[in-house]
Amino acid sequence: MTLLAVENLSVAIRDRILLDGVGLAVGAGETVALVGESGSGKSLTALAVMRLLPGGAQASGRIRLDGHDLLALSEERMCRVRGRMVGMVFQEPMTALNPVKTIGEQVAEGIRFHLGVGRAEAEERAGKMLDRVGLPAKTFPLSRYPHELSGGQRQRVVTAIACACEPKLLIADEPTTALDVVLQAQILDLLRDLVTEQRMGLLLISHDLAVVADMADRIAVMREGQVVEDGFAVPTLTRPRHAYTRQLAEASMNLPIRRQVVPGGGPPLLEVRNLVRAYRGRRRSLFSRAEPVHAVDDVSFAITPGQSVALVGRSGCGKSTLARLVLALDRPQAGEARLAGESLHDKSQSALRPLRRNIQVVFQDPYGSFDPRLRVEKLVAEPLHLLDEPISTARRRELVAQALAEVGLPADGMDRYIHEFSGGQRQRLAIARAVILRPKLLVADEPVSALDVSVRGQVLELFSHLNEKLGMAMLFITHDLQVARAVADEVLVMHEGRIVERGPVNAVLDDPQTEPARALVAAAPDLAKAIARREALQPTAGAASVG
Amino acid sequence: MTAFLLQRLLVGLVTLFLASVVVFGVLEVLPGDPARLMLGMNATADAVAALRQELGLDQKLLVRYAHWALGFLSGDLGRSYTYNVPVAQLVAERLAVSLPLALGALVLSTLIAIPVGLFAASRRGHAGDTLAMGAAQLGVAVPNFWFALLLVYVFAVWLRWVPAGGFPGWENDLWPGMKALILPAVALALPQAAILARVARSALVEVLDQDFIRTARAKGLPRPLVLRRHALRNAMIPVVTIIGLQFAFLLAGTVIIENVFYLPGLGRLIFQAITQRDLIVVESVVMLLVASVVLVNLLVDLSYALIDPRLRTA
Amino acid sequence: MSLAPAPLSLGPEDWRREALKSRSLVVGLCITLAVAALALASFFWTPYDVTRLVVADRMQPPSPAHWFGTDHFGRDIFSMIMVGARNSIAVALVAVGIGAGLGVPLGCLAAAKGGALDEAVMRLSDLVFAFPALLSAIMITAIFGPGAVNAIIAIGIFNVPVFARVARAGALSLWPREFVLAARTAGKGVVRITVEHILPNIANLLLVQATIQFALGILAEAGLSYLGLGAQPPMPSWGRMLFDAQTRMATAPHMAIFPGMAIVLTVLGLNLLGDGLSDLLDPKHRRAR
Repeated sequence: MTLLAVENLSVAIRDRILLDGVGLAVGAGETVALVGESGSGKSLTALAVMRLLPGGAQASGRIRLDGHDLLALSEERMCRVRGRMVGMVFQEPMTALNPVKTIGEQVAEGIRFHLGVGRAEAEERAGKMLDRVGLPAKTFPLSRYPHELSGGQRQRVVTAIACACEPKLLIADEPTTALDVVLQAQILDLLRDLVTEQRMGLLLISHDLAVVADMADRIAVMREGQVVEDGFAVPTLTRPRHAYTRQLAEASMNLPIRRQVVPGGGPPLLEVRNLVRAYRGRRRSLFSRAEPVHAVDDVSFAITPGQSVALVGRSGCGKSTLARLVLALDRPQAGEARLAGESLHDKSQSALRPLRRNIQVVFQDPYGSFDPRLRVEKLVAEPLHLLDEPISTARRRELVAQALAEVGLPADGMDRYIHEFSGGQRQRLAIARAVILRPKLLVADEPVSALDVSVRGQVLELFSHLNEKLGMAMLFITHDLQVARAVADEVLVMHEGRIVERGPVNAVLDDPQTEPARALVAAAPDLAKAIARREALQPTAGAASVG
Repeated sequence: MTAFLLQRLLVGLVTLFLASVVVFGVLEVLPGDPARLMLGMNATADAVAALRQELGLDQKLLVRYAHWALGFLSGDLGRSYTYNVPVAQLVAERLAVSLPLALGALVLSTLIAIPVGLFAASRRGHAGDTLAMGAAQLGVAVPNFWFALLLVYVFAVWLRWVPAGGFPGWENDLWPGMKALILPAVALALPQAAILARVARSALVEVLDQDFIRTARAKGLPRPLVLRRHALRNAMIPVVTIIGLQFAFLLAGTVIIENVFYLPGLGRLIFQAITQRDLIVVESVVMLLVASVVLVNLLVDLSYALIDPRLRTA
Repeated sequence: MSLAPAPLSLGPEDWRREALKSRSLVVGLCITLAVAALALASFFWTPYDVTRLVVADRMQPPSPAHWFGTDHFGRDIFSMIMVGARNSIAVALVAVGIGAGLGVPLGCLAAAKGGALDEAVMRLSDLVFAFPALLSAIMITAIFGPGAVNAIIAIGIFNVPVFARVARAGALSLWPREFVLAARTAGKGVVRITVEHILPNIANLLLVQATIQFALGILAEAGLSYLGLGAQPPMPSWGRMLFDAQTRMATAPHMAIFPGMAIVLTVLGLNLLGDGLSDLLDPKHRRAR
């Protein structure tokens, strides 16, 4: 029986058409995944179902939920549908909860509103719901405020709010994108269990095919406001009919394969010994002393010239702090880091200049990495400031053009502003800026995690190219183990400030020895494996169709 | 929460101390001998010297500062040169006018501004919002003393509902006193209400754009309920900040309004004291105002902690 | 999915298009330019000489000869408003200059260096904020003598911490940004990064704040000169004109109405300009519109 039927849904803001004839169906107890890259209209489709579109957006078509024509309902009636018949989980757990209300109030609120029960009963039900999502009242009393919870715990609260009135349909909009892989696996498990228990239909929105391959009965692929393909999960992923689906599946599965590089001999290029960086922790009370938080705790490792090393770990494990120390953007409390034999932390800013020439960086966020007020030429040329003598404008333009060519961008791009470039192009520009001085070591902090899968592969290729052809050593920070395999020879696994496991990348990731590494590997979404699992479970995909 | 408030208290005390040094220092380096000013140009040098001694002006700077500061802390604000009465008494008399005026204006401005802000934010982009904010935009631009003149013209000169100025005192009956303060309070309140309404609206609009509002809407709560239950409290911090700032402004900013309405308030006291070089009065009243600003800031900090649980644990 | 934050700015072409769309910006700019033009014109020409007293013409209501009427000395109010605009604008503008000139470097430095320097700057600004601004301005001008210059200094002092705080807050939000980190890995120092990256990116905030302080300065100057502490006669000033009108409200209300409207219009124009600019320059506001 069809629970949710979206037919010919179009959404436009003024004359811009954002959704164009979207059709979609979710049966009772069925999980349907809506996948696509950023800007494809996935979230907008969900918001249209909730009738929570941004102001000025006009929706047309039909949305039927359990017999109700949602687009025709009055706002008042729609309020009775939201939260009661359909619940929604959002992407960003850090901001999805009201910071000045307790979690108990926030869960109980919907129960009181929809079921008309008293405060006491609503709170009791809220307590049960929170208990169900893994926040037992003993350790997480209803009087907790959101800021006292971690990201994963907050997402559990959001889930509790969405499921509090046992809705028939649950919409989850990228529910795990803001979480690290281990938390992602936990939240996905929770969603799966809740959906089964309450026999809810689930509309799961994700950009990650590996996530949906494990969860979905059916998949709808969106691109530019249209559903381009839709069908049962396994066949859609293994034998896609539409070229775009094929391209997405391939990009998710086939990352560039790392050609083994002969380890460079000689003295290490970067040598890190017993590095410690602690931050002042939060004080528990006025009179107790704050316990320092060790972001980086006694870390040692080395990188030889031309070697590519991946640093992996959960979010908050200290990866980025370590990167900042290595880049001499921060000072350690103990230990030292040496680049080509010279210490990075005992020098004045001016004495650091010769060292900085040999170590450059690429950051995660392709939007925040550039000053929006400068032309690309000035942006990419920024490291030339490290040269001892000022260079002529003509020479500078020549070097910038060369760097742009290196990353596959045309030279005329240098006269444009950064907002004219796409995310993938910006990340190429960030790489151009990093390599313009031909540094010996490139530090990359999650450089592909903000990119869509289809561009991710190309940017990874570029990193491999720089490493292999130009012999640049790399410290590549990532939470994505597949990416680590694609770019690195060696891997360091970091956990709570320490490096807990290290070795050749394939050896460590195929057979992790320590608990944190095992958890990381087990939780990592892997499309190929997920499909294999599904095929083993139901050899005749499609037989167990819409329930 | 205690740590947060103690830290704010410490900052307040440091501010008070620095302010006392500044006030004392500025008035100390001024040209003109207060004793000579008090006695007039014809007084003999001996008389001036005697008065200097009486006032303690012949002592060392540091001693005089300590004397003044300690006296201030114990409630002894010194003696006015010109009125020849204790400053504390003067201040108390004048506060009987200024405090009701400032508080009245503050309450009036808040009572007008918050509903207008809520109204405009709930109708963002619609005609009601545009109209309310247009009026607020105009209100912000109106100097309160000009507005006061217009009010006098309409309600005192033309309609003769209220007196144009002066203050009958509280002794006989409350009503005449209140009647005399109505126009000044309205003149002070309306421009402040315009500012506050704009702040309230923009704070609300900002909160309404946040993710947790969408969560509340997804629960099924109707818009007005979301506005009251989820948006209002989150928007209170900037609103309370401005109310705090306005209290300081109103208490001192009554100088001009009191001049327009010939009210014997604190503002006029200090204005006259400055022109008459009655330094003790100036020092004490300014310090009193600074202390009240610091106190109000502390109250504002306290209310932050009450509004936002994140500050309680920080 | 929206992992990417909104970009910091628009391209130059979009910028021009957006500017024309913003009603408050266009209206505010027109009013401000008109007032400025009147002030400038007063240097060369006014309908009547504002220093000549014509007792026969005193307190005339508005007429074709005197658009806004005449005051108690028979001076033409329209001409006095033109000359008064000059004074108001000069005082407020220089006061903004003082505030921005001292406050912005202080705020940027505090944000860049942090630690004790930051603490000192913040405590100093707390100190200034603890003095009710108008009262202190009255004190300063009364003690050091009335006049336009002392009014400028008095208003300017209170602009310093305002600009310092705005600059500091803006700069603090930029220093952890990745493009600043990239500049640091390029070996650029604090001053260079501040000049090249921080200042251009907080210019929006500062410009908007400047229009607000400009408007507040006009109001403060009017208040001071109303109390007789601003520009001294025979130089006409808007506040002084209102003071002269006060005792004559019953017989010659036009003496109060027109100078007051001049103040309201000028301040309104500047506030609209500030609103328009912040809508235009702040991507968050743009989304909210």
